Amino acid sequence: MNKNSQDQKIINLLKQLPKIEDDIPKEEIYQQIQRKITRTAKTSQPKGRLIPVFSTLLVVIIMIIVIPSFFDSPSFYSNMDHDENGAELMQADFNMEESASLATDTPAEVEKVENQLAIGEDYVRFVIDEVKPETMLVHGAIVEEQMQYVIPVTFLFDNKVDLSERYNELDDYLREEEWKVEENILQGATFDINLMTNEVFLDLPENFSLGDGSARAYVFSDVLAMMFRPLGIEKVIFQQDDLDLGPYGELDELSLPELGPVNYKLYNHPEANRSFLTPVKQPDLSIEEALLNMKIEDNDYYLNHTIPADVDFTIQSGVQSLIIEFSEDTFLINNQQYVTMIESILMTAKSYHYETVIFENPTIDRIGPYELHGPLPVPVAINPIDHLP
Amino acid sequence: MKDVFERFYDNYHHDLYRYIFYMVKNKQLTEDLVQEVYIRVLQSYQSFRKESSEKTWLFSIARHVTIDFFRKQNRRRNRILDYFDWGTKGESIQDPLPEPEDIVIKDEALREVYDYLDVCSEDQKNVLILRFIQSFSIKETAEILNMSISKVKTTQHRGIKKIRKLIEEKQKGGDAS
Repeated sequence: MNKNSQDQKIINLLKQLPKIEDDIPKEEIYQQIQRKITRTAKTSQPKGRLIPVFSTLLVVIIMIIVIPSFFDSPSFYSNMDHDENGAELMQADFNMEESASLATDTPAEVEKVENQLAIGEDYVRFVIDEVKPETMLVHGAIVEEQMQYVIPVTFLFDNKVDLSERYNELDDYLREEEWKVEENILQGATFDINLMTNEVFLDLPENFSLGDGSARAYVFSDVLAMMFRPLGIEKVIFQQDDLDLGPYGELDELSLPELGPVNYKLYNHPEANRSFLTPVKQPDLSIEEALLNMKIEDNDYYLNHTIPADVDFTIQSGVQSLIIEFSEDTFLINNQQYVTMIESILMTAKSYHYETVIFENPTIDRIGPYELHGPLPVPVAINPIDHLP
Repeated sequence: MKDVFERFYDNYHHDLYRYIFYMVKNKQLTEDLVQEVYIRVLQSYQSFRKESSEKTWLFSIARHVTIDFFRKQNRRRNRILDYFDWGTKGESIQDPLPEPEDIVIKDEALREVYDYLDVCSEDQKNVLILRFIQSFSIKETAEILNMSISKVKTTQHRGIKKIRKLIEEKQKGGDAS
């Protein structure tokens, strides 16, 4: 039996599954619903009255604990490493945060973090800070399941092999099933990169099609842009004559869209074994609006916020530097969430053509690998992929 | 409120019940979740903007109710695992859903397909149930699941492919023995 007839057989079997019926009478269901609605209304009422009492008590308790510490150690936040009281408090903060995250992290998420940790590192890194002379970057792109977002990924190779060859191997390194993303849209394609003319020759497989919809077409050009714009390539030349590219029509070549301003959120599919910083295209936003947007989750697309909701800041824009000043009541924590925050801010700043980011008024000196007192250069690349077997 | 309930019940109750049953495979739980769907419908009907049909609106609520249920269930299970720190032993603990004795399927091929639905991803399972058990159109399925039509087609294809592979593997295993 061939695959098509096997598939049809499965469809027929699904159609034959029993038609389950509910045997509870309509009136009984309605009464049960009414009871539940009434119960919810009754139980929610006293809570409303208790919340202010609890909140007040909580504030009083916090003040009793915190105020003496401030008097004992006025330079607590700026001298964290040398101040014993401060160190203890810092540890307490960290533990509270850690407990909170442990309570919500699923084993899958814990495994996800472990999958992304390089040996000897304490934090998952979503960016590459520097490239050694003997290595080269190869840029790939993956597409999330609903085909609304294209996610750049980066492979580090030694630079002994031709760049085009590396690009032609990329498909072997993409693990779509594990990452819960679409199958590689360029599966079977081959590339011939010409850095002298800033062009890439693209040979697509015979059965390649973009279909009729526009989503795949937009994704197609975005994927190519993310792969080749970082190399300075502006144009893709198709090897086939009169290639039919669906909504684009018949094309011989395609000018790659520029990688405009974006803000970064975290694609965190519950079934995936890792997460990715994902650019959200909103080119009309100012850098401040873009950063504020990073506090908002988009659960429909599994996009987590990258800046915690209680982190408040103002910004100043220099020629090459973005200055982010945290508000007095923003307390930073040295943990994974804040490492991801710093990296997503740096990447967002990069997309707005800033070269460095200066964080002012931070309550701690360091978050993960980032020293906060001094300008931080924007990263070289994003979402490094460990491609070694 | 009652007239809204009655209209939804008369038009869609059996479809709604069947959809949730195949998602959770437990009658008692299905009854609870169906009630939860009706509660959400009644509480938010005023704000229903009628941009989609009532039917697709109802089923997208049903989908979210089942997703919420699965997430809560996962969180509960993980809290138990964390509490006892059972480590790898915990992996062998199954979901607290009882074996579905609520449904008896004697035909082996039907039973396989019924069981393998649970191996599919959440999206694949949703698409296969809506398309083939509920006989929804691709467009309706896309609206309920907030997917593009091509995404529904791809997900449907992948879901069937996954079931086909599992059936093939089982057959190979059977042949070998």
